[in-house]
Amino acid sequence: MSLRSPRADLVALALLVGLGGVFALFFVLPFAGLVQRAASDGRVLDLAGSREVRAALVLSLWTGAVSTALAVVFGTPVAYWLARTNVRGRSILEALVDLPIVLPPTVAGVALLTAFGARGLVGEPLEALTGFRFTFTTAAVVLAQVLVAAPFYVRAARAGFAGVDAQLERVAYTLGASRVETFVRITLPQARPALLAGVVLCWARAMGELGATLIFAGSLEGRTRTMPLAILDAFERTSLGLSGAVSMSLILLVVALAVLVVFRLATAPEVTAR
Amino acid sequence: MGGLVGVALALGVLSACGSERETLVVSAASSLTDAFTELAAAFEAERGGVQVLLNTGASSALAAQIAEGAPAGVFASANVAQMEVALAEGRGDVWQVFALNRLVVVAPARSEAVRAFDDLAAAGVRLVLAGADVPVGDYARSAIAVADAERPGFAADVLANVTSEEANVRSVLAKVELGEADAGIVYETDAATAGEAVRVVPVPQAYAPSVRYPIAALGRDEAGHAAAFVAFVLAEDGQRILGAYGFTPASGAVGASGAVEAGR
Amino acid sequence: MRLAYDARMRVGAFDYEAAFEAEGEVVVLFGHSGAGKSLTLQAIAGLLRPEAGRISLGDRVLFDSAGGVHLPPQARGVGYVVQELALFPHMTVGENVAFAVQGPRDVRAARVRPLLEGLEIADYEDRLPGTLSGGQRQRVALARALARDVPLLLLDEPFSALDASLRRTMRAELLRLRAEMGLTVVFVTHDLREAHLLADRLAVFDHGRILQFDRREEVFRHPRSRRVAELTGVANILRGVVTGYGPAAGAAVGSAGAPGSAGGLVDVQVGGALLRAPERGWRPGVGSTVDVALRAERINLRRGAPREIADVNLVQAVVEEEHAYGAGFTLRFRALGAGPALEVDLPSRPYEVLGVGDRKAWTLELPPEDLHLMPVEEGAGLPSVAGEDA
Repeated sequence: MSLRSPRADLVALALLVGLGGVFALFFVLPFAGLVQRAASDGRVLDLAGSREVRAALVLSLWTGAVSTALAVVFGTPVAYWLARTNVRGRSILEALVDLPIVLPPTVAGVALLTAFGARGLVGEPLEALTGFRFTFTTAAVVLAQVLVAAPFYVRAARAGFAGVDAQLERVAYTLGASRVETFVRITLPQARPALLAGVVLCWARAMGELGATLIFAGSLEGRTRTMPLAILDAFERTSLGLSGAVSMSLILLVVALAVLVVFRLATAPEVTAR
Repeated sequence: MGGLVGVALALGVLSACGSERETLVVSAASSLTDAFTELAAAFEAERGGVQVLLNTGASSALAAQIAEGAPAGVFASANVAQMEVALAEGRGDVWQVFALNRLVVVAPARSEAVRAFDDLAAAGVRLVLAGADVPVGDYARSAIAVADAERPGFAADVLANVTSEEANVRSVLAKVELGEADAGIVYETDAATAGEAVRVVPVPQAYAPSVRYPIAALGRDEAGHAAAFVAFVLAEDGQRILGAYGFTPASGAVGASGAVEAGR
Repeated sequence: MRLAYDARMRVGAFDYEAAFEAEGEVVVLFGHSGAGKSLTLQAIAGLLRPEAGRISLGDRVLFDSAGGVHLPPQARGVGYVVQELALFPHMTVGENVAFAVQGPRDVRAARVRPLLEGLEIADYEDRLPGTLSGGQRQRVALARALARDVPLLLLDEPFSALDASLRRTMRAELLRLRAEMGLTVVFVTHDLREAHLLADRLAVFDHGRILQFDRREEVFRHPRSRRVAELTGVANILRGVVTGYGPAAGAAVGSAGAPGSAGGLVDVQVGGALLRAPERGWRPGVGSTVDVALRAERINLRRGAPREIADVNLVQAVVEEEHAYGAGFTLRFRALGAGPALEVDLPSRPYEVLGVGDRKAWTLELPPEDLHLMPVEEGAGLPSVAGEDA
């Protein structure tokens, strides 16, 4: 059968449906498994309200929020600068910002130890001066989350700013607007959907942070044991076991779905209005 | 993380099916990592035609994997409780103790915070333990509880100093080696691998629990590799290798699933 | 208000150097894209800093490399409209225009309202730019640029995205605004017709230089060089040799420098034909090579037989090609015997009255006052005299 033959398209269509179906199934099945377990295991719902789960959820939600806020505060100027500058070596800078995205989080954790650990570049003098040590503190959780998650925000924000026509800003200058006013009234509103997408990505990644936190921050209920660590911990514990892991996974799934829906609702009108 | 390794290994085993060389998955407690690496090599050399895939992690994590059906042929646990968990689903019934170990306190060599077991209760000590269901964490908490019986309030002070509950004995040791924690409680055999970086503080004999490692063959063992591996560990060569890594050889206690209380 | 512009800078592959002025008029910067026109507007608006030069508006110095002055765009007070218009998509028409105005809401409204009404877009005040037609958006951009009460308006190809009829309307609108508000306008375009329609004065840009800056008619009828003639659409540029000075030449010497046909006549041999052209203050030596510019629409067609008329400025020719362009025709002629090939534009009516469609052979009359002599540019890489009109 040659590629020209009409049958080729039929075969291709069948192949497409088949491959697409397998792909879709692969993404649906794990979540179906979670739901099925929750339905059949009576302990899952009880555990959802347990002290351990609540402590982990609260810790995850607020550290994720703080990390995202830090990423936005420190990342926005960098993203804008990267989007507008033409300096030599900009691509190298961009690659550096992207680095944590491609590295395993465990590498980030080890790197954080070497910088902020008790014998780290910054950690050792910092402790000598102030007596403060990052390791095993909630601050360490936030550092780990910012390192692995902030690049997702910067990346999205950079693309968002780059998508704002520089001509708009230049014309705003000629209309008498200062650079700050132009950024606030022209650039930010234009980049808003991209920035929001970046915030959601960053927050989701922060919520899911496991490897770097485990290595750099350790795992202690209410202080450093976020949801992903609690899930891992529950999985390896006889008292909670898989029921606890399933319970917390379901909670994260619901939270993630809620965030995605809210995000869609918040950004969709802007996107169509443009 | 042990869970992820387990799943990856399981996939590896599945895909290895049908290849000429047969494989045997041995799930072993983290503290056995070095000793079992050599044991596996020696076993492969002796039996021939079989490849041992070593899956190490907290015994509690391994037991959870096995209970969920991970294809392990042999399970070597750091305590009896986790062995019971693994065998609960009917994957096996008989276990035998093959080694003993001792609990020690480790502290960074450069730190003066902890020089004796009692120092663990001092205010401000950053103590790292393994999770409560991880055998080494379980043993450590029993030792603290026994000490508390003599000196009421001791356990509360020590547990208040816990800054992290690690996933297994090796990460407890790592946190101390790196100097992040002021002290940790691990097995004597693990402490020995850290060398100069840590100072070893003994746990007083009166509080020290007896650390017993049970081993069992799991599931259908058609080729007999699992049973052969268990026998190899219990036999003279196996025991000699374990001894070389600091374990106290023990081929004594035999238990059956559900019939014996976890020994302390 | 008078704009005086003089700037130099290195830009990519070429050295940019331009100077011109504008006062209460429309100055069109004309040339191909990349010639430096938009650059000029950016330098005036303060979006680009030249390396050297001086830019002033009235008695305000906007830029002066010697004095170290470089006002930021915010402080220059000039209106700037770009081809893409750059309307703020998330703001209504009213907000776009009010963006340029400082002060409380009612002050801004008092400024914005008349502008919107004057440009007939008051009905769209609350609409977003994305919902407007091209012409309406154009008016919003103009209103916004004017909202700061600017004396100078910089327009960078603002109408090129519009269709022809809208473009005509907008040009008329611009001329009305200029008259009403006493604006000075600098208008960039690469469209020859647009340049002709709008310009009081015209600056012809090429490779970062102004080749000629003059009154519009002067540029179109008396291009300074072959390149200007090419850029401004002169269809017939003929290479010739000066053979002598005509009968009136002696009289003209006394009034040398007087422009137009008041001077003497120069005889130029072009492809075997003798053309007689006015001196216009320039007397190339006998035997020197010159270029002769003649716009296609200035040539007359005659039926007359050759021997009945004088042979100067007449070429016997036949139609070789004919192109219809709706409003008129472009005819390409080949000389019968001696003479250059020539292109002639003829409106439809004379074309029909003369019956050009039925007759091939014509006598072409090249009016002396429409012939314009230009020095041959050195190193221009032009073909030799012999090959030029073959």
